[in-house]
Amino acid sequence: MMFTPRDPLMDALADLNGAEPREDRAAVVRARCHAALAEAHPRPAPIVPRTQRALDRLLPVAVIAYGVLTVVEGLRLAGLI
Amino acid sequence: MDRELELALVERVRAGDTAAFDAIHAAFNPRLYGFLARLTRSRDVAEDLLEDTWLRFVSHADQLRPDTRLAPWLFTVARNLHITWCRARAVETRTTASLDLWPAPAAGASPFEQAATSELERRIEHALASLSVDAREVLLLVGAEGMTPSEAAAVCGISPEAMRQRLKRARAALSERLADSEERPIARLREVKP
Repeated sequence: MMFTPRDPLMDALADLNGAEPREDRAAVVRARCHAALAEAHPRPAPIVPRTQRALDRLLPVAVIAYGVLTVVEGLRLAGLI
Repeated sequence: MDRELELALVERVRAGDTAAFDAIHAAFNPRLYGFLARLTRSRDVAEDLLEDTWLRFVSHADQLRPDTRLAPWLFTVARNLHITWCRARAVETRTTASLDLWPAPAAGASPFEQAATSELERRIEHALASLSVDAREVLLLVGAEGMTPSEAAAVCGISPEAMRQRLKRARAALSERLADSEERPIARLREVKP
């Protein structure tokens, strides 16, 4: 096995204490980076199945038709028409 | 950082994954800060340059190559930003000095020097802070960050052979500065264990 001598000075450098930037500042930086990433990669529009889109269009028409029919039926029962 | 994990994180951050960015940020933020704070000897400047480094990273995230090595990439950007800051400060210092409006700022202790927990650590921080920027950056990249001379050469934009020479000179300079202030032999550095 080959022996690699350690350099005590380099070891001492590697052992130096780390320090952290202030947490509030780091949080602001993270938020800015998230915003920049989101801006560079806009979320794709959700894919809606064709039947779902057709139902979405039909629903208001069906509601209005039901309402009209209900009113007509009411008038008919009242003998007004 | 494990290479497979690194590749996966690069892939995800290229696609704009903020969780992947958070993982990279958590892994490298203290290291980059230590590097910049020891280069600039100022907490505020180091934090400004650190912010610029991360913003540069996210603005280029989609252009990263899939096999990007994050440490050399990030440290190269941080180093280049530090060089730009030094040039700007040199111009500013010359301008203000010629106007004779402000006294030249005294070189104070680095944030690490102030926070050093042991006498030995304080002496190393002090010796490190007294070296030239060139010497400091190679010692930090190879000694503190554990990069190979080839990786550090890529960060500094020089050949591996030139890096080895620079590292040798920097190490000798650091050793000399330590010897100047030494009360105990350098050999006892080996005894220092956290």
